[in-house]
Amino acid sequence: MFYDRITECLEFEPPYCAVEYPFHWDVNDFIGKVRRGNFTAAFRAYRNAVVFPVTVSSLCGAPCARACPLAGEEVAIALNLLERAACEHTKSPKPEHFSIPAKGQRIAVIGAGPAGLACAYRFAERGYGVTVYEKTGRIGGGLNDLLDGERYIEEIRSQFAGLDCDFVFEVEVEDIGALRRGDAGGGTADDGADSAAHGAPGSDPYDAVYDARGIEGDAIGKIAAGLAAVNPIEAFLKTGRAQNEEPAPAMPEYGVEIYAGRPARALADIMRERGESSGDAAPGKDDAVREAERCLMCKCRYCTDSCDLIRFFKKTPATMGEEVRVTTGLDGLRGEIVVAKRLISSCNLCGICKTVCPKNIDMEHLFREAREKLVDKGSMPWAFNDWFLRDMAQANSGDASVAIAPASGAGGYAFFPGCHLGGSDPGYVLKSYEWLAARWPDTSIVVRCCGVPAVWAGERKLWEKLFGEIRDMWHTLGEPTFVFACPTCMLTFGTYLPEIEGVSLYELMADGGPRGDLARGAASYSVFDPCSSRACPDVQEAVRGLAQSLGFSLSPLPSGRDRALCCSYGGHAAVANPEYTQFVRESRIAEGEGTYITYCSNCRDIFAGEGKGAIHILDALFAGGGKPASAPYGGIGLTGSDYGSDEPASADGLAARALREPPTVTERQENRRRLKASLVYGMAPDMRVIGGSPVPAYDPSHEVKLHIPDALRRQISREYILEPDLAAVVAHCEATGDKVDIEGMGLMAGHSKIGHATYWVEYREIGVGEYELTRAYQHRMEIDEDGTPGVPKTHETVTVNER
Amino acid sequence: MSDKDTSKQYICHRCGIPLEPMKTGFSYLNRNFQADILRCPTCGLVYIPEDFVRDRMAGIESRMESK
Repeated sequence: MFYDRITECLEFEPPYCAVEYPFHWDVNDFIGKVRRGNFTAAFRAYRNAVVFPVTVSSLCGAPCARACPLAGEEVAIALNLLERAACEHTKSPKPEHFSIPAKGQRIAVIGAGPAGLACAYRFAERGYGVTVYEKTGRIGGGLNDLLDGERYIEEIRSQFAGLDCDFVFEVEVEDIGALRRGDAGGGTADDGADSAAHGAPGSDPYDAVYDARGIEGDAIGKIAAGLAAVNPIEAFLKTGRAQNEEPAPAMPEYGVEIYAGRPARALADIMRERGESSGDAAPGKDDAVREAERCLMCKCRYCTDSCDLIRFFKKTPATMGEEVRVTTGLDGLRGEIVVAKRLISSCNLCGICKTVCPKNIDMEHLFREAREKLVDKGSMPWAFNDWFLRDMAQANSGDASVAIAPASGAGGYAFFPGCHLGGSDPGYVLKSYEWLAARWPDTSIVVRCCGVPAVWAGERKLWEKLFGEIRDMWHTLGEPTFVFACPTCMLTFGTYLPEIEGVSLYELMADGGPRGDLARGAASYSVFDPCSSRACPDVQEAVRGLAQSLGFSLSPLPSGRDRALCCSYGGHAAVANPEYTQFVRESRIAEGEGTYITYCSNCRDIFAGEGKGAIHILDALFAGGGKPASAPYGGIGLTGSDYGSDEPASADGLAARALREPPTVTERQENRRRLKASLVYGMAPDMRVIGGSPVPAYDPSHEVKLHIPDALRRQISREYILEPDLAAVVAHCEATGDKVDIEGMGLMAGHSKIGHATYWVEYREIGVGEYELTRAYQHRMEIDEDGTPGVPKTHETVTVNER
Repeated sequence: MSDKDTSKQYICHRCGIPLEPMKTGFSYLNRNFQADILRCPTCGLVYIPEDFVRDRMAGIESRMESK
């Protein structure tokens, strides 16, 4: 499916001007060379396209200008003047004839007018022996009648210098067949012609004949026609099969945006004002460079401009598609092909590609399917998704997951906050649920992960199981409408559980929500739309409405709304490709100066983790100070804020919330446990827990007490290492004595494999059962500890000690 | 406190003797490797310093995952 669609990619569609231009060449390449001021390279590209550059640039009527998208808006790009500039400012106009070995085949060209000359030149340049038959006594045909004819003919002569091309004058060829057979040089072959010429009676025959007589059009059109004949003839000589001339390119299907920030004034206007536009005057270098900078360099670049993955990898959709096909479909001689596994696991799966693509080519779908194929083949590197799947398992475990509903029977709404909102701050969930329950007292709450990590990991069996669990819970609760706080949960339900009706928390809040005046003293704010919100424009509107009613004045971001882009979290690319996710984060942060207001806690925490001020819209709604809670969850508000109030935040309170450091991966899981405990212990008397373990059985004290310095705590979180795992390693070392004493340092070190990964700790004892961690790290390779030391069981030649 | 401080002695806690470099096998994604790793000559206890994990092993892991 994808591979059929990729052929529709408009990547290779030419710029608009090239369609009108009789020579179909890479205009964007030429413009790029002029922009760089490299007129010699620009000249070579131009000469290669038109063969006789001075002649063509002087005679060209600039049909390209008709197609230029700037023609109706500003002034069409003066491509013709840029070509003249290339001719004028090149270091050398002399032709470069590379020492191409002679082909050993001969071509006859009939007619030494512009078409015949162009064709003859191109063949001779490619190493063919060429003879041109001309009925008159001179070359140039109609060019001789033009005002500057002698100049053009002089250029043509100079281009032919050094090439294997004979001219036979005053011979009218009447029988082309005879010419080919070599038994006739034409009806008047002996009228002063060189009797030794090829094709003349008694000489070798020609391999092909090009008859340039009778071609219609002006000199430019004739030169173009002569050049266009070359490839089909050459293909015939090589394959013996006839081939049609390449069809003229169709008008491109993409549209272009006339963007700002380009030079404002057109070169033609500037030259006219200076009185320089007479004849075929060439512009100066600087003027030419500016005109080239004014050019839009038309090509389809919607995905290359929008998609972070394409920008980062600098690969086109077709290249990516091919790499994915090879990686997922084939096996190499030495085992599986691993070429694109990181690429496959880097995509944020945000879908901007198909949104912007004029052909709706869906790279996201390609990468989702590829992940599933790698999982099915058993060749997805486990490390890419291991953390995210483990974290999801924690969110869905009895430690963190809970469903609470009215004892009297469930009502119309069930709040589904998702797993990251409470992980970021339990207060977000508690306050939102309080807000809902105050308005719709029979609202249930279901705390667990929506299952998207399984989808992103390509684990179909797992996601089918998880969505089945959610569907069962929905039936148990009486099929309520789910209220979503996270746009990704909402999108996931819409895709995989379409039977469950959903509404976003922010849409409910926007109806009769709070009012405020946060503009006072506040810095600039912008709404950052999470990528998944592209599917729900109503939610985007609701959040803007909420923000405005709270008093924010908003500056729009370049991306957003139907062009919303990922914060870097989507698709779980962070382990597979940390450099890429850093690139994405920096790209998003660079979009706006001010504080971002978002409605996905992952976006919030990603930006804040980079020091970029970011709040969740719930911060603005619930971070206010005020009276103690009257609601069930008294005492639990947003972390670090006064609790219990539905009052909106103060501007100062918000500034602090915007820079709140995101929780570590350990704190995130701990927050989920706190959330569940708060919900269960703070439950109103008329509510009950549905199924599962009602109270988290987690004992946070663990077997050992581990003190971790702040810097190390942040580092291990960035590396997705959980503190309880490290405590378990220390406990293992202490219980078994499997540890190393580092002499003279009072330090110990040891390791343990937990799940797939091996974790190392270096620590010192600071009290009974209390330890200070000094180092922690992990590796993915498994140590063959059972093998005899010194005698590895393998014959693999790769050794780790060598780089 | 660099790992590269070779003057540091690593002593097997249980056996009470210094660790020595020995060829040791590793595996990742169905491929096997070997490296000289500090081990206890008696019980085989392994010690891999942080620099070695970050500078050497991580690069090989990454190349095994994808080109």
